[in-house]
Amino acid sequence: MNKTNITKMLIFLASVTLCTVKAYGYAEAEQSVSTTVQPSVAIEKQASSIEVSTANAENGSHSGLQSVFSLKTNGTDEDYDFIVTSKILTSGGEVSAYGNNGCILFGHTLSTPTAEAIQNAKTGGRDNRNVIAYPVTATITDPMSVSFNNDYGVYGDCYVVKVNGGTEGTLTHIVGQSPVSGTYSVGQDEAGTYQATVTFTAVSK
Amino acid sequence: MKTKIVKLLPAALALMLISPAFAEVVAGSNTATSTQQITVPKFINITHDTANSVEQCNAGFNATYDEITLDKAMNTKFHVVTNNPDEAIKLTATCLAGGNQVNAIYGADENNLRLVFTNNGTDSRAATESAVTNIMGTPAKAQNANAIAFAITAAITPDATSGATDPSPTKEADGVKYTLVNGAYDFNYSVATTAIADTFSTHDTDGIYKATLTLSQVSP
Repeated sequence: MNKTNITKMLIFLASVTLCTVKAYGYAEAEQSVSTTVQPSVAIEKQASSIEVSTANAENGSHSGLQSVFSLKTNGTDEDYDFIVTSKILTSGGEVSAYGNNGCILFGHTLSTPTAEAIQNAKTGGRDNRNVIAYPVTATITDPMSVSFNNDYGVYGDCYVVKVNGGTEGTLTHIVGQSPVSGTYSVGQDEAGTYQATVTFTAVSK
Repeated sequence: MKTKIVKLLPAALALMLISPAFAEVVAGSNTATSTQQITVPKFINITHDTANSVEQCNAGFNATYDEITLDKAMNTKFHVVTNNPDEAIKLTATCLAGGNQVNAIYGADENNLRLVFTNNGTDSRAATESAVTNIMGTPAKAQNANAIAFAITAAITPDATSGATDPSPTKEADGVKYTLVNGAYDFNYSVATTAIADTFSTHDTDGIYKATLTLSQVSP
């Protein structure tokens, strides 16, 4: 091999090397990256919630309560159960605070009501010491929807939210101001603080 | 170095595509709870059940005017409703004597109560404070002119459906104090139709004799 051929060979090898680098870089750029975005959710209680009120002791009406929750999700109704539950403390532990007639029960925090009193109030009776029932409604922004369900699977009595393809919404849970007839009595219901808790949860399926 | 940057580019691109849209969601919670509270203040309502009270009557006498008999069994009925499990109320009574309203209730205990009625007339028909005091001690007919005492009996009925139970009475110098739990109650006080011995005589002039019963809230 003469000097000229050696020179030609070097130029060729140099070109191949450069081409190789370029070709390698091009191949990396075309590498496909497959990433699955998992469904996720964020639920927050909003500052517009009204959680404390005072009742008129003579008739049990109060100044108004509401729980406001924001919901953000990239999930669907197939990914989550969006559930609103409520609790009231009884002498035997916590039970659902939702009644059978579109109401929510509030129980005395110190003189906790009995299970019998809770059951009586849930069915619209009059023998329900230290329990007061108020009508309740829940609304949510479009396109989401909310409806009350009795004994809904493992959740029991609850509101069920459907996002219907929406990604953001505001759920408002409103407690009516006047007690359900028969559930408030000056004699039966002691002075003090009555309480119920409302929880909005997204349960992954 | 260039090779490493090239390798990192796709991953960085993927992260950029994923993160901004759902950054808040990923950081959020899947549950929130609202605790709602209603404060029910203390309440008590004491009312005079006029429909079931008899508060006027006429008196009859024997021939020697030393025995008096009322033609009706008078009574005063109160209704009490409270939501306070640590409530207290008190029965007091007054009558006019010496131009003032003075204590008119006395007795050995809450089961032996006496009520003094005094003539609301003037001058010789008016009662003095000493007349009332005399009746409450050892009565002497000449010392208690224009004042007559009758026994009164309390009948207290708690409304069991309201959660009320029998109240606890305590006799005090000027009445009876009752401690109550929350509930509804009827308090009825019946007046005997004949007078306590040595409180009625010819010293008691004609006129209208009156006593006023009051049931009011007091400190427990």
